[in-house]
Amino acid sequence: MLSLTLPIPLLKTLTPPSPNINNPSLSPYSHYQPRSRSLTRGLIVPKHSSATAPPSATLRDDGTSLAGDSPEPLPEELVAELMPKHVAVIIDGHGRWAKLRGLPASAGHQAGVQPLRTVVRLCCSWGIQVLTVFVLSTENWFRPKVEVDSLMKLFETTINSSIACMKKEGIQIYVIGDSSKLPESLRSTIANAEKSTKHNSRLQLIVAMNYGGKYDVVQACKSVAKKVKDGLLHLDNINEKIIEKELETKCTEFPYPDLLIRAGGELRLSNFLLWQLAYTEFYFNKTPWPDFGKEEFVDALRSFQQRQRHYGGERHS
Amino acid sequence: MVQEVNEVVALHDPDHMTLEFLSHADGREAVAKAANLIFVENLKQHKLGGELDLQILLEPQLNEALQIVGSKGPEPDLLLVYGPVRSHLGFPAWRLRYTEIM
Repeated sequence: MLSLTLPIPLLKTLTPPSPNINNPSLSPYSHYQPRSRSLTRGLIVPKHSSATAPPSATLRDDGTSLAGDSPEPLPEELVAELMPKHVAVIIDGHGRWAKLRGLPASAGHQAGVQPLRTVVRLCCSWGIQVLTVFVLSTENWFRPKVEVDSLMKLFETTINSSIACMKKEGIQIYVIGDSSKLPESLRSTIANAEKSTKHNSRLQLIVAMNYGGKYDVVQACKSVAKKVKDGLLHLDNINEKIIEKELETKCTEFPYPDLLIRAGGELRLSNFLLWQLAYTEFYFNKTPWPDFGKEEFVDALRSFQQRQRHYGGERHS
Repeated sequence: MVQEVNEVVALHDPDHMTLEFLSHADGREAVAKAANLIFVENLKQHKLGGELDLQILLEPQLNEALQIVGSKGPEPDLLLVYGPVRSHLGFPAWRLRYTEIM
């Protein structure tokens, strides 16, 4: 790395131009040409004073909607051969979604379960082999305790209610991240779900819970260090390939996502899969996760299929 | 004319623009080098038993080691990606936690 300083003083009088709302081509989302959406779906919604989600967000917690008996046909605009093998998703926007409706944040998280089931069902139907979902970051613990506690309960009930369906539909679940901070009951639920679904192979669902990209690299280095300590590895052999093998995504045959979808309007990675996302195609979507559905998922896949992929020089259409 | 500077100068000179030139070696390869450096240093300190203390491998230590191998820089606020792809193409991921990507 080389740093150079230019002997040109920066003008302190410069102010950034105001965003040009009349020119949509300047939008960071314009790259994706999303379909026009009805405003009523996201905004014009009656306020609810109760702490429960509105009827439109009511969930089927029996888990029956996970994959469904009849597979979803592939939309005409998508090509089966160009489907990504591994899709990663950052689910976001629950809080804003709830606030717009006068609901607590927990209602937003609750309403986010059904979109996840929809995406899982579509992945199963369309031959996507790995789906990694970022549900809880190592930074999320700084949120209000009541919100974190309700999230933990939601994870537990959702996983518990989905085990039978995952077994039936051939979905294998695997949870990555630092589980030491999770409640004991949730850890037990995770262990049970992983054990019950470990022989399934239709779709691998990787749930990143209390996960951080930097945490992952550090734990991989610790794992390598332990192998050095135990005499299983020589110092001279340590390179990026060795570290790669110790990352938490070693649980899958396809550790590198082809496509990353971020819902909720933010344009950053938020410490998710930092090492693994080097050549991943990004798709940022403004739709808050509770409103994310088949249409948005198809848009993301179509955008992915229209791009040329680069791997540090090589070009792949 | 340009002058080569170290990171300390680059970060604390608000009146001048700093250009940083990165390569693939500053990404994953640098993390591997930094980890290796930590292992080597730690083993030197424990020559007798050859014991490796796993607690020395924490995020701050890795940051420090990255600085020593010459690949530690500030986290950018904004990453602009040009071309037909929407990917960071191997930009040092250690520095991209909260970077806005456009």
